[in-house]
Amino acid sequence: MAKRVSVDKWLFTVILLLVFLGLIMVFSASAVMARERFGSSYSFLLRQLGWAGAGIAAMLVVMNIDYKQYRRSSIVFTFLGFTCLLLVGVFLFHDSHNTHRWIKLGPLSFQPSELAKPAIILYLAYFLESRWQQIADWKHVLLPAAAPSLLLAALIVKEPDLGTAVACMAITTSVLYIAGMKMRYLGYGFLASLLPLYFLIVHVSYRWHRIIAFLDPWKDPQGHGFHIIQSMIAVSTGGLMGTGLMEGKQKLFYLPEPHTDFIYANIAEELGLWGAALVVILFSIFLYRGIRTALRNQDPFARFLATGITAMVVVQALINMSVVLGMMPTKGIPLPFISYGGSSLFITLASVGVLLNITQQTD
Amino acid sequence: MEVKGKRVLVVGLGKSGIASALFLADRGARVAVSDTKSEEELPREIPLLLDRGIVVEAGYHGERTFKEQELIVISPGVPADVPQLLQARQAGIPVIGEVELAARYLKGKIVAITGSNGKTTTTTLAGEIIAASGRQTLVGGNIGTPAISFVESATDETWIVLEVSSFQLETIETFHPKIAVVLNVTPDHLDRHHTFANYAAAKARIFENQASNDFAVLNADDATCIAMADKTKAGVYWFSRQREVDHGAFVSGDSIIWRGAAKEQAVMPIAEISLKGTHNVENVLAAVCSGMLAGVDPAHIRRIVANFKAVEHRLEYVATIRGVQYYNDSKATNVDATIKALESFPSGIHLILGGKDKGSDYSVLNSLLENRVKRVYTIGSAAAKIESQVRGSEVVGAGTIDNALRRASESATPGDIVLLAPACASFDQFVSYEHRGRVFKDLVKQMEARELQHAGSARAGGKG
Repeated sequence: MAKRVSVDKWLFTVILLLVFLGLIMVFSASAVMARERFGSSYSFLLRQLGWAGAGIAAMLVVMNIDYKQYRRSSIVFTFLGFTCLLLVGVFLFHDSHNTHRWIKLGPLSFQPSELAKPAIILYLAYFLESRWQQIADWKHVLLPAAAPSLLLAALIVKEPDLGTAVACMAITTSVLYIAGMKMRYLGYGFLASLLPLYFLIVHVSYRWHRIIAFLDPWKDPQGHGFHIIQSMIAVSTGGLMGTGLMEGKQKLFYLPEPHTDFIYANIAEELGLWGAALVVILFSIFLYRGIRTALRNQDPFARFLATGITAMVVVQALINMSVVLGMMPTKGIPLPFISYGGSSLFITLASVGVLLNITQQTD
Repeated sequence: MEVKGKRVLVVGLGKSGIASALFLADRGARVAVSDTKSEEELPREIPLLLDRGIVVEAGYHGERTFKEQELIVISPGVPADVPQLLQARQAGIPVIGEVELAARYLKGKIVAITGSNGKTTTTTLAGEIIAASGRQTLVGGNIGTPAISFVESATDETWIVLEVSSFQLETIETFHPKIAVVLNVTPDHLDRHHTFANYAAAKARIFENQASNDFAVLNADDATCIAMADKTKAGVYWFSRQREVDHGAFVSGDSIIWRGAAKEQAVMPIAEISLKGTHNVENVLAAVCSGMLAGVDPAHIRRIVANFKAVEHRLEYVATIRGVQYYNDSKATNVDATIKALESFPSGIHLILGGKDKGSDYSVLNSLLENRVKRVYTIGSAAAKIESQVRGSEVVGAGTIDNALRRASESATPGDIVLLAPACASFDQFVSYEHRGRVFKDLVKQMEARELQHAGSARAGGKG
């Protein structure tokens, strides 16, 4: 039996702080809207609280399962296959907001693309564990390693959810980089993605409008620029100290999605620069401790898993905050641990459970 | 040295590699091991390491495995010029041997013994001599228990007697023996050191960290040893079988004399030594030097030397069958050790020679073969090379050790000697030289048992 050290306290604390902050902000951002829609201010909070409880329970369970259990082909390919199936399956469900992102089962609904991220990470870790030394062999190692990511990303693009697809590829790249992929392959990959991205952005009108709006939001302030402008107003209103919890105005039906994808704008408005910076600091600590866990581990499988899970959280956080601050065109990506959204929160917490387990292993 | 939380790679899964990996893991390092042997060849080692949370790479040395480490510890069997190791050194990763790792943690006084031949005997004997003085003494190193395994039990008062090989000395940095002994330097391991000068230089590193209050013990009958005296800051003591020395131990008449800084005294008569062979007189002299320098009472030394029997596999007597004596010198893994073995018997030798060639020149055996050896029986992969170089004695290609033993016992006459002193490594047919020696001894014991049974039934038949 491997000797165990205690779980990484920094990671554990940061995760709980982010979830706690998320619950407060979800309540603050959604209370008025919830009363309007459901007659109770607590409606969103209670649901999110349920998911957070379930997620933390899952994290604690996963944290105590030896990560080495996952290095079996039966588990890896079942997970990957199941995810593919669901991603194809979403097209059978009715669309919401003109997209096929959700699978609804009674009162529950979740996005299969959330599962794609851990499925890709697990496959990469499994596949690269025995082959990473030969990663320069692009035909037999690099390509088959990246193939499932490309397939899943293509399915996710089809939903359409370009943001999550881009996040999946960024996670894949991080793991391949840690596995020793030469930077020039990253360059080739980038070049190769330009053509599909061109068609996916320039030839899909709403995306193109988002790009235009991103470049100059005030050209169409009531239309495509509205979202970004409202977000920026929220951030600037917050100033250094913020308006105070519950005191924000932008969430009052100016800023769309104040409790989900744009919750960071609400944080900036109500908690000011200090609150916004706190979130950045918490994610930075998460990044540092996650990468440290990966780099210090001698087991390649653990290294790749830890890298992937860390990237999964940080890449999404980075994209989300960039969008809110107008540094990136609008993408439908939640802020991990914080944004309202059950399936995202639950799956993220279960995934970081694996990372926490890796921190407990002495090797 | 703090290794907690550090990434450390241990290269080579021999005894010392495993001991190092477990030691490092116990101290909280993140340990990986790498060995070119396949998983099938390491059936016991791998589970043991995995159980301790150590990551195992078997069957190859991954280039990248070596890149991302904070410390690399290599085992004696691993050539220092493996490309992955060279790269790691270039990248600035510290690369040390197991002896150096031990040196960073070991308390107590170290007696380090090196040389081309006689290390094991001298180390064992010196260890027993120092132990006889009543001090806590640990004996090991290249043979037996790896030095790293002594860290737990050694205190400042402990004496640690270590056999160190030239390979181990190549990777030291701070290793600092109180008493450093070089027995002799003869061409050996040229397959790894490439030149004799490199090899001698590696041996001389044993003095590297010694100061003026330490001791260097050198063979006054060995030209290379004599040249080493200039390289040490330590006080030099000599031993010689052939002449008197200024300070040290030597043979005078039929006695061993010790000449210390203050006075001269007789230690014991040569005739009391129970070890066979002239080379063993040198080993005894070196051990006497170590004992005297460690402050052991000469009376204790005399008693220990008189009772000391040969080390297993080192010119070890096995049995006498129909007047033929069988000796196991499986530890003779080079030509020079075989020469020393042959010198121990004046004539009538049936010599079993061969195994895995180490790039040796076997023609140097020729004059001894002509004078002392009746027949040579070759075994293993070096057979063809030996047969092409050896002259002066009849050579029989026997292939395996049991075949060689059978043919030798058939042609040997009473008074002859059957000697396993193969001058080669064992790895083509055996796990180790110990394994080779044990197989030889088992076969001889079986022969002896059959012979006794046969004699018994013959007597019974005669009565009836």
